[in-house]
Amino acid sequence: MATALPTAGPLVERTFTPEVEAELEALCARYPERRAALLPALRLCEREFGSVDLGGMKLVARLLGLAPAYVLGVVSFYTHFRRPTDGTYVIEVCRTLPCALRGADDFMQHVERKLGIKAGETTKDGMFTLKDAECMAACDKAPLIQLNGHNQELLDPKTFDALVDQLKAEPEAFELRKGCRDPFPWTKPADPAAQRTRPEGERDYEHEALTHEPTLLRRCYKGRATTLAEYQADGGYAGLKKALALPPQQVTDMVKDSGLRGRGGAGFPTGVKWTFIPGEDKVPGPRYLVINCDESEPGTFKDRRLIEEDPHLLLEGIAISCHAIKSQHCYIYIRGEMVLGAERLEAAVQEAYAAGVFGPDALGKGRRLDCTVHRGAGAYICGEETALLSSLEGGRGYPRLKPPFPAIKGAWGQPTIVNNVETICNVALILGRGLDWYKSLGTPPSPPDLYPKLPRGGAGSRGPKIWCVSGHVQRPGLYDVPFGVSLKQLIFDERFCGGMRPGRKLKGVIPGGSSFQILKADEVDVPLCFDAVANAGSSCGSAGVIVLDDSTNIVMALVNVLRFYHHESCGQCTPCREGSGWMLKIVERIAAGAGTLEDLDTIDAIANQACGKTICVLAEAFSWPAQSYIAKFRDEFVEHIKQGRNLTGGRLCAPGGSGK
Amino acid sequence: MTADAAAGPGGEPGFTPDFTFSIDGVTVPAKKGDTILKAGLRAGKFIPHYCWHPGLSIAGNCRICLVHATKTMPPGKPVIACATEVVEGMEVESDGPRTKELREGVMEFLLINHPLDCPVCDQAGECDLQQYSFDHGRETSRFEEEKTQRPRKDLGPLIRFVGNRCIVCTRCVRFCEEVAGTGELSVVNRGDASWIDTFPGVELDNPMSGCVADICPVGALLDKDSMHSTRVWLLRGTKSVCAGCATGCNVNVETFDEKVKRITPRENQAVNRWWMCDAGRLTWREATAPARVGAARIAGQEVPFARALERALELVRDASGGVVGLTTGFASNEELFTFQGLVGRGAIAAAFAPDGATFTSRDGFAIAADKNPNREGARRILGEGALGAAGQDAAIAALEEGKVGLAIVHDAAPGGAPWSPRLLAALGKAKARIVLALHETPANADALRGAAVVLPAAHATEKDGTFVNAMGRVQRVRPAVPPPAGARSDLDVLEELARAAALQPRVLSAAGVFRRLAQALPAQFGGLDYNALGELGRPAPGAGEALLGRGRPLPIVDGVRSGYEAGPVSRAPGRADDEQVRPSVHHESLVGYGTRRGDL
Repeated sequence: MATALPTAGPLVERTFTPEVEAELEALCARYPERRAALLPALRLCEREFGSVDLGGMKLVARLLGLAPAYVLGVVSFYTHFRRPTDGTYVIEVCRTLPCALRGADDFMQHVERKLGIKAGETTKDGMFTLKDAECMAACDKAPLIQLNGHNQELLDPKTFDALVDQLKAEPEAFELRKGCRDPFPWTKPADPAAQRTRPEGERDYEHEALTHEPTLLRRCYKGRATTLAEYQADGGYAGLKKALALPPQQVTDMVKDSGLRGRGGAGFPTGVKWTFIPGEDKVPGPRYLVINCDESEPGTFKDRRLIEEDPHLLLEGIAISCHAIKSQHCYIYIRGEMVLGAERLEAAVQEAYAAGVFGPDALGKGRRLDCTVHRGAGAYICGEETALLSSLEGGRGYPRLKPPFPAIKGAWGQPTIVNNVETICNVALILGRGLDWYKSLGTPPSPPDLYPKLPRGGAGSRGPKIWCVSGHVQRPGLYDVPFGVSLKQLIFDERFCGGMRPGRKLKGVIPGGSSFQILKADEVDVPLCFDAVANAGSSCGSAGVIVLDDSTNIVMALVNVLRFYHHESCGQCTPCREGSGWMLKIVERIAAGAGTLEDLDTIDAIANQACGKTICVLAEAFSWPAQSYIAKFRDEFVEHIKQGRNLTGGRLCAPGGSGK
Repeated sequence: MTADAAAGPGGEPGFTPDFTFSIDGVTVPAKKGDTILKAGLRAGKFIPHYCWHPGLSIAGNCRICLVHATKTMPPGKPVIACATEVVEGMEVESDGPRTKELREGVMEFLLINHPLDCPVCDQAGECDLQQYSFDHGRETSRFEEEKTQRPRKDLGPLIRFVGNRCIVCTRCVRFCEEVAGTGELSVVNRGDASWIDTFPGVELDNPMSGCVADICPVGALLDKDSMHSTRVWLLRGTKSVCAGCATGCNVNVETFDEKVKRITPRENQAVNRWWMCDAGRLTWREATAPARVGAARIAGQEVPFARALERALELVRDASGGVVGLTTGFASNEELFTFQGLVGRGAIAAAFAPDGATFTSRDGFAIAADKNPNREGARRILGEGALGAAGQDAAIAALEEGKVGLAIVHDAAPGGAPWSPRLLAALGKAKARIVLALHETPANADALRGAAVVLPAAHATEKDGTFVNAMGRVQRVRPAVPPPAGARSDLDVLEELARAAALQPRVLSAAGVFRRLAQALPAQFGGLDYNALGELGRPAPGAGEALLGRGRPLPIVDGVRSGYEAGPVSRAPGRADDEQVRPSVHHESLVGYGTRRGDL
C-alpha cells in the first residue's frame, strides 16, 4: 500500500494578490515564528486556488521562508486539505466504530452505488469526490457525511439521495446546508417528584447525578452560538471579573483545590499541571495557554458542541486561566474538520475582543491578552499535546520527546499549558459559581483500599461532566451529568439513553473513547468517575461511551478500531508505525477466516512489544483495545479461527434500529 | 572548539567527569547533561542506535536504544538512551534479559516490512540493520502478512532512494536541515506509508548530498557513484586526506583490486567533523580520467617508465646553466621540499587552481574556495615569493634571459595547472624540459609539447606524504593504489633527480624528507614528527585562528542544538534562500574527466 503523494498535476506557478499577502502577514504576526502560519497559509491556498497544489506549496514555502520539501512533508501528513484532483463537492463518510455501529458501512455502500465511485475516487463529471474520513466528532448523529467540510447528519439512503439530487439540480443548495441543523437534547428535565431525601450521613452520588441540572450544556441546543450578550445575561463573565480581582496564584490555588481533572483523556489534575510552570526568574519570556480542541477520539463529541453553541464559556475560561498562569496569548487548536466550530469560535473571539475580554487591556493594568484560533488539518495524533504543539508550530504532527514537558518547554520552547476545551470551561464554572458549588459535584478523592487496583487511592473526580454516548442505545447523545452516575444508569435510565435498541442486549461498553479497554455487560455497574473506571480496568478517558449490543461481531469491531489507529499512527516510532499495521493485518486475516490460534498470541506479543516503548501513547491506543477484546471475548475470536469464516459475513453488527 | 588529535575522533579535550553512573554494573564517568548513550560511547560502552547521530539533533524515533534504568520517570518504564540524561548513581541495564527483549521487539518491528534483499543490497556488510539483527534479533519472524511497498527513485544526481529498505530514522532529513541547511528532504505521508522524498523539481543536490548515503544506517540511500560496484567487505580502506580543496577532509579511500571504488569521509572534529563534499567524494575519478598521462614519453614518444626516468636523470646530470621549476598546490610538502632543493637557487613558480564553489554548512563544515589541497604547504616551504604572479614573473624573466638549461615542471594538478600563456611560451627557451604531469589538457598542453621527458605524475590517491590544509593542519595522505603501470611516485622521481644532481647521497622516503623539512623549516614545521601525525594530523606552528582571515575559514561550531529543541522533523529549516546556497556547479567540476551528471 503505497499512499499517493499530494503532488498530482503540473506545477503551476501561483501568486497571492497583495490583499491576500497582507492577510498572510497579519496571520504571521499572530505567532512568534512565521513557520507557525503554515497551516493557515495552506488554507489560504485552498480558498484562493481551490486546492493545495504544488504551485501553492511552493508559494507558501517562499513566503514563509521554508524549504518546499518541508511544506510537502507537512501537507502530506494531514488529510483534510483539498487536493487538486478533488471534485466540486468532497463527500467524506465517517466509518469509525461509533458511526459503523449505527450503520455507516451499509450507508457507505449506498453512497458508492449512488455516486458510482469508490472511496478515493472522483466522478467523471468532476462533481463529487468520495473519501473515507476519520471520526467527525458527531458520533451521535451517524450516519453522517461531511460535505465540503460541513456536517450533514443523521442521513439515510433516502435523505442522501435527495441531497445529491439537490446538489446536481441547484448548485447554490450547498449554502443552505451549512450549519448544525438538528439540535436535540435528549436529557429530560429532572422530575421534582423523583427527588429523594438524602440518607443521613451518606451521599447518594447516583441520585445527585440524576437530579442534576445541565451546567456545561445549559446554553447549548439552540442551533446557533450563544452571543456574548446572552452569555452575560446568563451570568457569564462574572467569574472572569472575580478572577481578575484575585492574584494569579490564588486562582491557581482555587483550581487546584477544586479537584478539577483534565477532561481530555488522561485526567491529570489541572491546577497541579499549572503549578509546573517555572517562575519568571527561572524561565523568562512568554507563557502560552493552548486549548486542545482537536477532539478526534472516536466516540467523543462534547467539545464540538461546546464551541459550536456556547463558545463564550470556553473564552471566559481562557481569560481566567491566562490570568492564573500569567499567559498573554492563548491559541485554540481546533480540528480541521470542525469548519463550523472554527467559524463560530472565531466570531465569538471577535466579539470578546470588542468587549475587552481580549485585547490591549484585557488583564487590567495595560496587560494584553490575545486569543488566536488555529485550525488543524486532519490528524488524530494532533490531539496528543506535544503533537499538537508541533502542529501549532507549523510542522508535521509529531509528538515530542518528554521530558521536558510542555509546562517547562512547550510552544516555541516556552512554558505552555495545554488543556482540553471542557477542562477550561470547568475553570469558568469554578470561578463563576464558586468553589463550594463545584466541589459539591462529583466524587471525592478515593481513600486507599477502596479500589484494589488503586492501592494508594485516587484523586477523585469533581465537577460537572459531559458524557458522549454513542452506539447501540436508544438515544445516543451528550449527557451533562456529574461524575458518579453509574454507567449502567447512563445507558439504561429513561432520562438518559433509554436502554438498548429494541430486542437487543448489551454486549459491552467502551467507556472512554475507542482507545480504551472494553467492559463486558456484567462490568457496567460502575460509577463513572476516574478512579472507579480505572479500577474496573478501563478509563473514563475523554468520556466517549461507546455501547455495543449483542449483535456486534467483536472481531469486526477490532478491525474497525485498528484501522483507525493504523491510519492515524504518525509513523515516528518503530513499534507503533510497524506494529499498528501488523496487528491490523493479522486481525483482518482472522476476520476473513484465515487466522490461527497463534495469531492471538502474536497480537498480544505485538501489544506488549509496543506499549510503553514509544514517544506518545498511540501504541497503547491500538494495543489496549486488542488485548481487552481478545481477553474478554476470546471465544468469539477462537470461533472465527475454528470455523475459518467470518461469523457475521463480514458485518459489524445487525443493521438499523437506532430506536429513535 | 578544536579537538586535539590525541583526543581521538570524537575526542573531547579536557573531559572532566562531574559524577559517575553505571551501565551493566560498570562505572561510567559522565558530565552533567550527558545522555546515557553519549556517556556510554565515551567510555567504550556501545548501545545500539539508528536514528541517533553525534552530528545531528536527537529524534528518538527508532527505539532500538531502549534500556532499563533507575532514577527515571515513571519508574520501570524503559527509556531511550539517546535522549535520557544521566544522573548521578543511575544504574542502566543495557545487556540484561529485559533489555534484550526490548531490542528483539524493535528489531522484529523494523524487519517486518523490510525486504530480505541483503544479497543484492549495497549496504550489506556495513548495515546496522544487519548487524543488530545478528546481535539482537530473533532467528525467525512471526510476520506472515504482505509487506508494505514504498517507492524506489533517484532523489538527486548522486543519491538513489530504495523506499522499502527505509526505516524512517530521519537522519538524512535532519542532515539536510541542520547540517547542509538546504532542506531538500522531508518525511512524506505518515505511519507505515511514510518515506523520504523531495519536492518535485527540487532535487537533493546540495554540495554535501553524498553524506546522506554515509549516515543512512540501512541501504535506503545509496551513493550512485559506487552503487553496484563492489561488495563492501572486499573493500580495503586507506586513511588519507581528500585533495579536492584546501579543507583537507579526512577520508577513507576504499579500494578493490588496486582500483579506487569510493571515497568516504572519516571523522575528524578539527577538520571535517563527519562530513565531506560531493566533489571531494568524486575526486578519485580524476585518476582514471581519459586526460590522465598514463605512460612516460621521450620527445613525445611513449617509452617504458624506466627509460624515461633514465633520460631525465641524464638531463639533470648534464644540465648546464640555470634551473627553473614549476610546481602546483597539489604537490605534497615532501615533493615541494625536494623540488625546491632540486631547483636550488633557480626560480620557482607555483600555479594554483582557481577558486571554486564554496559552502559552509550550518554546523561549520566548510568547502574551501581554494581548490588546492596544499597551497598552505607551498607557502610555508617555497615562501610567498614563489606564489602567484610574482613567482611566475621571476620564472619568465629567468627563462627569457635564455640562460636556463633545464626546466622541471611538476604538474600534479587535476585538469592541468593554470600557468600563464607567457610562462608557457617562455618555457620553450629552456634548453631541456622534464615534465611530471597528471593530466594532459589544453591548459598544460604547451608545457608537455616539446618536453624532453614526460613522466606520469601521481594522483592524490597514489601519494605518500603530507598536505597542510587551510587551517595549517599537517595531515597524512597515504597511497591507496599504485601509480600507473611501471611508474614511480612523484616524490621518488624527484628524489632520484636530486641524487642525480648530486645534491644528496641517497633517495629518502616521505618520512625521511619530512624529517629534513621539519629541521630545515622550524618556523613552519618545527616540532612535528611524521610518525606522530597519526590519523588525524597535527597543527603546524601558527595554525588555526591566525589563518582564518586569509585561508578558508573552518570554524567548527560546537554542537548542533540537541533533542527536543531541534527535533528534525519538528523544527523548521528556516531558510528562505535555498536556491542561493546550492551551487550545483560541484558536479560540473568533473566534466572533462569522463564524468557527466548522467553517468552517476
